[in-house]
Amino acid sequence: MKRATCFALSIVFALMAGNASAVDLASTATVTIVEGITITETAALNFGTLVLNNGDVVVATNGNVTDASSLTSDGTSQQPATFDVDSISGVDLDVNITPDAAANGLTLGTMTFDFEGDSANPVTSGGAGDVLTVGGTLTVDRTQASVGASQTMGFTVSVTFN
Amino acid sequence: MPASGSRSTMRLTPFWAVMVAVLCASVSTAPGQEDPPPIARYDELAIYIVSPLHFGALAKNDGYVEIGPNDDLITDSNFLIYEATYSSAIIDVHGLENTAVSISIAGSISGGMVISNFHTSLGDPPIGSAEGAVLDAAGELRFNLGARLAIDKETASAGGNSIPYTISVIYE
Repeated sequence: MKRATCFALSIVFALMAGNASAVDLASTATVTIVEGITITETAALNFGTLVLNNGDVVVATNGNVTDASSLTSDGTSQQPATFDVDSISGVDLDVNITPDAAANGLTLGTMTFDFEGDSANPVTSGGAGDVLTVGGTLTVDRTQASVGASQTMGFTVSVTFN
Repeated sequence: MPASGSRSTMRLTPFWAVMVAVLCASVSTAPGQEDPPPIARYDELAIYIVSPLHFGALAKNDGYVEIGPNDDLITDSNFLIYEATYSSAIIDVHGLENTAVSISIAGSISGGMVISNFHTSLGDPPIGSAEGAVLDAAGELRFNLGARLAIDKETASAGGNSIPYTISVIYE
């Protein structure tokens, strides 16, 4: 009986020794969170109605249209894209616009932007409600393009902290 | 039988004596002692944060930032960094000299943020003697620590935030 007691005590002390050989430390990492950047599209880039021919149509950020190949059939809806950008007042931002790959005989080429009067990076955020205007060049290849309404070409607008 | 009982008592007495001696030795070298021995000796494991893990200033957007163990940026693919003032943590472990330890680190979810994917200068946890997690001749081991911090913009709050994590060290 006493041998059993001794054995039990040995186990208890062995467990105590085990506890002493391990340690946990609860710590914390820190971070400062600032309000981020939000972009909301308020108008889509529109090249209007074009004839099926070879050529380029350029819609500038100020709304001017250059159509050297006279592709425009109806230009009433031609307009640059506009976005509302909210960020932190006074911080520098970078604007990058990347067109998707050409598809269906339509190529979205050189993209331009105007951010509250600035057209080169970095631009300065005015806080909430800055307007970003995006223009671009559309190239039509008549051998691959097809007749049809509302054909879309994608592009990505990125606004990041400088 | 009294005889066998007597023999058992004789065996138990040295055992208690040894345990008391061990406990006294532990107390005599506990941190905070006024007269520490000339050469540091740590019988019990202890962890100290020499420098905290800091992710700098990040935008309140969805995504994550991952900091390496050497103040290096592993990724900011979501462009969250607003001020690149991030820094890895420096951790000290004290214990028995020339002894291998196992180190594991657990993250958490807190306030719209998740800390995970820890990296240490000894390797990614859990780490052990194979990765060099061995206390030196003075009973000390120092390593650096980085991690990933993910942000959910819907639930994260602007301002200063603390995200808990737990470091566990055990003798191998």
